Amino acid sequence: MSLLKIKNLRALIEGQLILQGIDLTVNPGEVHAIMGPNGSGKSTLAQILAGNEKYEVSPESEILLLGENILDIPPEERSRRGVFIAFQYPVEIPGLSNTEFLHTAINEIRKSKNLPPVDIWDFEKQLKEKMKEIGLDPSFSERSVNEGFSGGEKKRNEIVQMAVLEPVLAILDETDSGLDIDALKSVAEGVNRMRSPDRSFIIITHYQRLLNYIQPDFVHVLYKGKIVKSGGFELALELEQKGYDWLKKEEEMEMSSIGVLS
Amino acid sequence: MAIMYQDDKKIQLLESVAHIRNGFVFPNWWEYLLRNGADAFEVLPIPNKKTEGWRETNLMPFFSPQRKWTLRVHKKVQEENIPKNIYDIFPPTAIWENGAIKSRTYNSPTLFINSFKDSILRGYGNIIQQIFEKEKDPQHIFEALSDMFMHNGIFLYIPKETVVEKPIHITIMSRGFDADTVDVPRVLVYLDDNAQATVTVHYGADTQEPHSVWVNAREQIIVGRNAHLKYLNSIQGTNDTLRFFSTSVQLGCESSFSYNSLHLSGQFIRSEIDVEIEGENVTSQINGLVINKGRCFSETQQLIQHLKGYGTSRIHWRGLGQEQSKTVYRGKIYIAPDAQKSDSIQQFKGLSLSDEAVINAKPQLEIYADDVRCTHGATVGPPPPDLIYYFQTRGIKPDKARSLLIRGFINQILKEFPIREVEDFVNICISKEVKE
Repeated sequence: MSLLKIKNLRALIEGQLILQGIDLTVNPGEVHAIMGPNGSGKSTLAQILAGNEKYEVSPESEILLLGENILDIPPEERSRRGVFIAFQYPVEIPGLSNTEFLHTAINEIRKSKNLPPVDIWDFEKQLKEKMKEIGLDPSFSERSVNEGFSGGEKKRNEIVQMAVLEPVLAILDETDSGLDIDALKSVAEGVNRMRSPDRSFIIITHYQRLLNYIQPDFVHVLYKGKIVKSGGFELALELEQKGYDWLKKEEEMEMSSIGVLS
Repeated sequence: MAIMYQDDKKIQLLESVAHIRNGFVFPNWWEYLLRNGADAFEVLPIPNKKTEGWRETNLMPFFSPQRKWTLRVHKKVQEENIPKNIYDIFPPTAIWENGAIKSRTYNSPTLFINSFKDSILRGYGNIIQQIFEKEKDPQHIFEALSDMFMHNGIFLYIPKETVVEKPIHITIMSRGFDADTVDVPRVLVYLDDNAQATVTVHYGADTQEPHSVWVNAREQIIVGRNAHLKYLNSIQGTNDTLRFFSTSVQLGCESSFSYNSLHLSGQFIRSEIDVEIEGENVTSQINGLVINKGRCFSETQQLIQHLKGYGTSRIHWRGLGQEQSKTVYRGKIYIAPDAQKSDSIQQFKGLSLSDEAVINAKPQLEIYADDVRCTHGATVGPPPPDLIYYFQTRGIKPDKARSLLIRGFINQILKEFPIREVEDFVNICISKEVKE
């Protein structure tokens, strides 16, 4: 069974159609990269998968996680079922330490599975280990979530959270944006370390740069709310060389020919 | 007509003055203060919504026709009346209970703490007199009431060059009886030059339904040259407690002062603090947390006066509004023409947990010097939806997310409090005061 199956996903925000019918299948263990120019709907797709309720999804659309439609399920329940999103702009939570935040998260997830809670001291040790692996100073475990962190530190912290929560489907929403090469490498290493036959990734990015370090199985190009091209890693290389303009032209020609026919 | 009625109430209160003497012969300066207070009380009008600084203050609970206030003075302190959370975490060195005072042991070379009356008998009358002679005349009837009923008080004196390592805890208990009861606690703290101490003052109250307690408290703090004081006051009590607090602070040059305040419960709180930076190179830090619920009203008025230069002042004040409560914050930083190189930051944050809770903030600056750094700001709002959503994406339900955000909001300000025990104290109180 596929891990994720998106069928005819159409979504609006404030009356404007952002996603215009997306179909995508992600099997366990696969890494899918979704690329596209600004405003093509990449982040909207990520947010809808995570359960952000500010988008209105068309009733005929379906998002199947392990065969079950999750569209009516709230974000926390999706998370408990193993969906994780690394945010493009992670929020700051003043006054709540990383340890407290993630310890609550993991125990809420465990509670939903009838598992006993994890002791906070054991958890903190584990968290500090993960932080070290991802190149974040372990003392950040005691600091408020993302408060006063640099852009790169925030992104690394998202990857730390992913490593702690061990999702089955991780969506990385432009995790590479604003990262220098060292930070990019540690984020990529963190992701690669977690690749496994039963865990899948959707990596949303604007640039091919990250994909040099996390090699995807599939690359999709999203343009004006639709997947206009899919291929292997070579598609990412082609986009890097040619940019998005040739795809835009192709797509616009196709649209106008449809217009002529109709 | 309404004002006439309130004036009748004032006359009733005046009549109670005769009963507070209790055989004690007050020195002349004290008699003068009582008389001056009574005169001011007679002359000053009851503030109303048109009075500057009182626009948002609803004084009806004090002057409603159902209330008939009586001043009761106790003869003896009953320690068992002190709330357990205060007693355990801040074991009191001195206790006030409706005018009765109990002070433990201290008349040592390191510090002196006792009632005003005993302090005079032990030779501290001159110091107390000098402090009171410098006091300004009452600005409104609540201050006047404090003076005209000043039948006693707690006096804490830290002599020159003395460092008191252990915190000094004072408990103020105001108990109600089978009538609406007024209590007028008074605390006077004087750190002489080069002294250092940590002082905590905790206000508790106990009422007997259907009667209320009106606590009209006055704190005077003097921090001498190069003296260093960490000060905490906490306010808690039943829902029938009305409180008026007036705190005045004078800071000598090179001194440092950290004032920390917790307003945890009560039907009505109006707390005024007036800090005068009288010397150069002073550091003043004010931190406060107001937790408000039900239909309660809590108002904070602050005035920080930089009268001399090179001073640093910081205000971090927070209000948590629940249910139909109303929380008001008004803070002013005043920089006098001579106070060059002053550095001041004032910040208020309000977290509103219900659509009906009202939080109003008005930070102000009044600057007459041209080489200063002053900033102020206020933010008020509910827990941001994007934060709640972030928690949700980590498997945490919105209710739990809200409660963690509230904790975070409180923890952030508690971190600024330099007194270690505060966190334990608030943690005990929080389950009662915050509907998470």
